[in-house]
Amino acid sequence: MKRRWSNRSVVEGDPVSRIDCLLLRTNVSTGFAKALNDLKRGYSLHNVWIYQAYHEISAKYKHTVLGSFWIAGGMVTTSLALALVFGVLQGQNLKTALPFVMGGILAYGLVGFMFTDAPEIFMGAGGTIKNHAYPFTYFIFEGVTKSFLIFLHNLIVYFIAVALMGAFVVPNWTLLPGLAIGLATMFFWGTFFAMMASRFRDLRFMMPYISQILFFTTPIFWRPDASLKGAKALVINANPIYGLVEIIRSPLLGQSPPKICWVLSLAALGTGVIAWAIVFGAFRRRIPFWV
Amino acid sequence: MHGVQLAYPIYSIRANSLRNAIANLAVGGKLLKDGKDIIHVRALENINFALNEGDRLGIIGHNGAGKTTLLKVLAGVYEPDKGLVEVNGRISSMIDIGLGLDASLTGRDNILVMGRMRGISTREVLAKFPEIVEFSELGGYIDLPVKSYSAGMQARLVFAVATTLQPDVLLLDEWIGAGDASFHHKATSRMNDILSQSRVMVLATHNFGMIKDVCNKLLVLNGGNQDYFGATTGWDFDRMAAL
Repeated sequence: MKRRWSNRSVVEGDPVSRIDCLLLRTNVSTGFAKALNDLKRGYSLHNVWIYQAYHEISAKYKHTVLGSFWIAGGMVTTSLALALVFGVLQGQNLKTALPFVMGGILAYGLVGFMFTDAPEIFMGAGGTIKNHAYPFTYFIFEGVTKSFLIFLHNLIVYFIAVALMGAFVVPNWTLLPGLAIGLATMFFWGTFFAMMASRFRDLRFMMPYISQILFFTTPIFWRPDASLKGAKALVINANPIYGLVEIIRSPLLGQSPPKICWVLSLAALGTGVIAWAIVFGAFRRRIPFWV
Repeated sequence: MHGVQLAYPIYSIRANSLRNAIANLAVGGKLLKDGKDIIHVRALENINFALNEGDRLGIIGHNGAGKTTLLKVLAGVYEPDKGLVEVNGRISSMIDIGLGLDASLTGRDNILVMGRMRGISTREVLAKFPEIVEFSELGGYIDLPVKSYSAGMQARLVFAVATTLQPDVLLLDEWIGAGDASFHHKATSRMNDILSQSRVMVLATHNFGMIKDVCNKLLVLNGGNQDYFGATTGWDFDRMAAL
């Protein structure tokens, strides 16, 4: 019989051997090992969270006439508005401005999960967390999957819009590693923010505002100017969100992302893994008390 | 369970706010360090017991003695500060009815979700479907959204799912009293059925009658401490009632 939920052995004192118990004991003695165990168990439920993510998205639009079109509605409107106002006002051709802006919003919509959706994850699942010992990583996986499914949905709309403008380009292969890095970063930093927001409730409201600020300070709807020097250039060169957005947008526009973007993204991912190992490892057992 | 100890941190509203945490640091972090902002409640102290296959444990104690907390530690929801908890087998916990239930989905969809979340494949759940629906006696309601159910109906649905999907360790909290008399009768005979298949059940309740009927072992909690663990027959229930 498969044992997926069982054998939650916890040792935080003197280990004692149980003579009358038959099966395997996960001998986890450090917080980090428990975190990895949690990750493994969460991942093993991939059938569940993929299905759940899909189901929750489609359920939201069940009783509407236009259905899932509404998911893309926001992206289309914002992109059009920004492209028309900034692109055209800056004298750019709509044919180049719109894919640029739309791609940026698409990528930021995915990566921005860390700031907008992640803080709510544990609190939203509070009832379940306090009654069933599901692995915490399950909820993060589900959240990331939801964002990714919405991204895919909007991606189709993006391609339609771009094709209608006659600006369709076959995406560069770097889209795949770009997405992989983006999703992994969303997972690790997402867990971090989800935990922080459960403990410090102000963060739950602060993060969306930070997200807004980042939306403006990152070259999403404006083109990064190479001639910026000094402190002003930091907005581009030290902005990890720029890295994460560009490694998705550039391939969509048919180009390879600039090298700095890979550096920034990998740095974001690396620090995310470290932050995850420390915070999730040390404090995951407190999450049911926080929510 | 061996030497299990658990303290609940309770965060006052002030500690929850990051703004105040930062302000406190500026003042020297006195408030938090004093522990005035975070109150710890020692919920369980030195709990020791072992259960074998076929055991039915009843947990009794006053309100606030730690029964639900103990169930949650067994379920793995709370990890203790000290001690060792070892559970072999699939755990099915019904500590709070309606949890794991998505109110907007139908009863049918909820059964599928609950099954999947417990790690059971969709095919297995569908195979057990008729049995679950029949036990819950929900009839046509099974295809209506759960938000239209009464508390008792939700309880029956969760109970039907939890007991049909082959739990090895069944954890039940006092809500079982929420059902009507015929549900009680059904639940008791279902519990006896499960237990005849050599599994373990833990039941926290105030209903001494049910404990005497169903349980063979007893754990008495008093303010987080373990007063008694042993055979049900070894405890004088009247002493409890008199307090």
